[in-house]
Amino acid sequence: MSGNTSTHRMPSYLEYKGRYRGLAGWLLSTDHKRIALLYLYSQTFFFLAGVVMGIFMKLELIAPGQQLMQASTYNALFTVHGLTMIFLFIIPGLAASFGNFFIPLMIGAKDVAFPKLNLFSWYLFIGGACIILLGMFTGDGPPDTGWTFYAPYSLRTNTNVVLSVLGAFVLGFSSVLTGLNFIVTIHRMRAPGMGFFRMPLFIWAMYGTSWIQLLATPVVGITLVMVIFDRIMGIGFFDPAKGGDPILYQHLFWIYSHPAVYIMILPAMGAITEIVTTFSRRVVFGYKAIAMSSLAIAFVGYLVWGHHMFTSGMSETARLVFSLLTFLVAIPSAIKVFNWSATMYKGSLDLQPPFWWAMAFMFVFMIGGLTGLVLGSVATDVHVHDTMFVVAHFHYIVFGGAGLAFFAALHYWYPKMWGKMYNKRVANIGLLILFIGFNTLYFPMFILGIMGMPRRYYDYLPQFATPNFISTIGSWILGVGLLIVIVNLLRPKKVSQEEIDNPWQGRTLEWKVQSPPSLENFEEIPVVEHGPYDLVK
Amino acid sequence: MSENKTHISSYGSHLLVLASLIALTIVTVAITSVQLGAFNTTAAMIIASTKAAIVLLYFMHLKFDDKIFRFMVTLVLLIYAVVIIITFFDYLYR
Amino acid sequence: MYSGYSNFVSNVDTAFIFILGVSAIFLVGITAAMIYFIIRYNKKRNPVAEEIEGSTKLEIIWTVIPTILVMIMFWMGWKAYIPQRQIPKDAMSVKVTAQMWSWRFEYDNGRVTDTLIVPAGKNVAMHLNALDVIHSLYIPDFRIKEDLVPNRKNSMWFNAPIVGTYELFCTEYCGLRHSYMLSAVKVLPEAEFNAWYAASAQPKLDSAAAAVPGAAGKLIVQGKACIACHTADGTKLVGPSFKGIYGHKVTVVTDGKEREITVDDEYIKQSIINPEADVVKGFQKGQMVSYKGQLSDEEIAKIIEYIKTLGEKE
Repeated sequence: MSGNTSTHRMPSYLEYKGRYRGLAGWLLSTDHKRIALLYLYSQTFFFLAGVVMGIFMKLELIAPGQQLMQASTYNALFTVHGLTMIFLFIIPGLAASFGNFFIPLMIGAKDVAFPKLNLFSWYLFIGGACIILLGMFTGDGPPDTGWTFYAPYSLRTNTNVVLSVLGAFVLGFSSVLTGLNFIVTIHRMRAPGMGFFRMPLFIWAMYGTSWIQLLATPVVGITLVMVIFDRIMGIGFFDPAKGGDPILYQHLFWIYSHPAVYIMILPAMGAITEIVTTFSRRVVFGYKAIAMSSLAIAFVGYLVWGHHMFTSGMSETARLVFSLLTFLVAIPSAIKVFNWSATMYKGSLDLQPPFWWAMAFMFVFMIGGLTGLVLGSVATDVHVHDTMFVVAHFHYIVFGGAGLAFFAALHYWYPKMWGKMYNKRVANIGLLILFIGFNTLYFPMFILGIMGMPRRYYDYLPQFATPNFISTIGSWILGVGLLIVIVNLLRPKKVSQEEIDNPWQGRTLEWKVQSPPSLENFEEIPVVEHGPYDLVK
Repeated sequence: MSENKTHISSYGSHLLVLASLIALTIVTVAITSVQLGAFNTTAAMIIASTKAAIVLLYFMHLKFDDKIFRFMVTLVLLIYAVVIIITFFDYLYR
Repeated sequence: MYSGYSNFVSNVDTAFIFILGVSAIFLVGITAAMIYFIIRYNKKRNPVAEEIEGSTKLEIIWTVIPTILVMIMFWMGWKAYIPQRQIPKDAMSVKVTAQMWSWRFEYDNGRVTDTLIVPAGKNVAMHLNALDVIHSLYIPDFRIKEDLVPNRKNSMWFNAPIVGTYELFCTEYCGLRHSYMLSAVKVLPEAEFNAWYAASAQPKLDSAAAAVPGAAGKLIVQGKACIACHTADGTKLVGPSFKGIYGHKVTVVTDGKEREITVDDEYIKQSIINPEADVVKGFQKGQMVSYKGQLSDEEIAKIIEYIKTLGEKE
């Protein structure tokens, strides 16, 4: 294939002028790269909104008693923080932004299988987000149910639950369509010669993710519609006063929402695999093990939802089965961590910012994963269930895991996406501050949980004061780190085209094209003759 | 692949499918009057799955399409079956 | 750790220590390996990487060893948990009722408290029920927790050998005052408990106290936890304070329309039986359950009597 891009340059997808100009050229574009950026910008916006809410929550919890808001405000705040972060940032997550941008580039395709459907998915995403926003400012105020909408509280509260639930329902469609699009793209649009076992591992992770999106999301969709029916028509699927079953709601909700955690974390693991391999400057260790572990996580991840319900009064048999299955899902994640470490062995490690992000991810993800074992074992889970321990575990996995991987991917693919380079020194400083802040913020929550402080607490007993205070300090450090990272990314330097096409000496297909890529990615579709990470002289 | 291959079903087979769907619907309603305990749910699920399978195979042309699609659909249904079975570990043993 | 506050503590803590210990070993080990690789194999020290594609032997080792370890963790957790489900036949039983945002413990002899009082060293079984939404009973020192689901019969038990007072929390988010829905477990020496238990089945009023108007109503208001939301001193909580409302005009919202009414017997009764109908302006709908069937007309009359005694608003 021709790697000789420097002599003949096409206009990049950023410069390309199509039928529509200006803003319309973005909002009506069916180019997967422009849609990816639309996702990226909107997701980042929601993420920052969620961060601000989080910082206010931590400020309220700095000391016992009321600090700056009423209990009703706090309850609405943690609900909206959860809704924003989960449904608007991390479920679309790396899949919608980096998946959209790099699946076609990494498999040697010109676009995804259904470009118009892809744009439509983004509009559904924005539509769902608008409905949720509308729910916050109209009616009887923002929902105060927690992002889980547990019945029967969600049926009884007077706040604006219906609009938020409807918004989440619409977002579900966006997720399903994106998943479908990616599955078809990966099956049908791979470059000639690229068999399934010549796909980069990010693509394997995306493949597993897409199947979860396609299969699990409809379950939550129908559940949310049932909640709306319960509230508006008073049918009573989940209302015990009408003979409904609130435990059924929990089953249906977690049948989706547990696999949803893998929707968040699998693409993150895929991106980390790419980064660790590229910066180790060698072939990945255990390609098939990592690929198969992605599918194993996707599959076993369906069958473990019951560990969210160990104290709900499920039958003992169900508690036994779910605990056993939960421990099984830990194994493929462990295999990934071992293979990442082994990839570094005898490599030639290039210590660039994306590599440090990946290292930060691995450390934090290990803590998140290992504390998950506490939650899988029934006896220990009963003690820490619904306490701050769960909050800490969840943030270590989702913010520390998926969130840090999001930024790792951003730093890794930044030159490819925009054809520019950020200040590497500042990037490292920002990461270090953010990493310290992150652990100061969330680690004390493990201790609080083991001490017995329940979650979703607006006020707490004096013995919980010290860890809460440290945690609040951590939130400020984290905020500063995040600010440095983001401002640094917004102020790129321009560097020469030759430096930017493949700055990290990556071996996968996206590094073989110019940065930023042209509208059609490849002037001619490459023919793949070797594995994705093989060294080719 | 097989982009040009098309399959046109006869009216006869369509009518047969329609007839079997109606028959199964009647069975669904009829079976509720027979007391089978926990197996009432099982029976309803089996009949509903059969109907879905008929629709998928004939109306949605799965029977005449590439094997890979049949494999995928089977796998998906299998996952759903496992999910439902696990849910019933709770409901049956309470 | 290993406080021995309940019969479950030592097994649960052993499971904790095993899981956290193994986790710590893995975390430290892998992190150390990564740091070593970063130092030993960085670009300067090791300019040319070795292309190792993998090793089946290693993959098998690091699949099998974690599998064995997690199976041990699973088994320890299960073994420590299963006694919590096996309620002994001889256990003393307490009916626990939770509602937004209060606890109610009812004993076999009819005695009702808002604090769980139990004898030391005796098996205590709790039969759980919730009136409105899901709550969860959590006693951290005893390592036990179980949800209270409306219309479902969940149960739990414990045996607390050491005399003392322990915290009791609600851990399932249940609305506005979730973080204030806390109570305590008082473990008394057996003799002291028996004396308390035998003292009076139901807090009865002696004749002198009964003569004070509203005293009977006050007991009901405390027993049914009305005071969790409606204070007697004018403080505004979830619902309007009882102080000085009787006979006064208030603005209520009926079917979305505001209207002015006078608080009389009829209105108080309506608010108890059908709380959603006329909500006082400035308060949220949907916070109170109907007490229909829980309070007799006679009891409601006593409550009204009590509210009348609470005098004027300042």
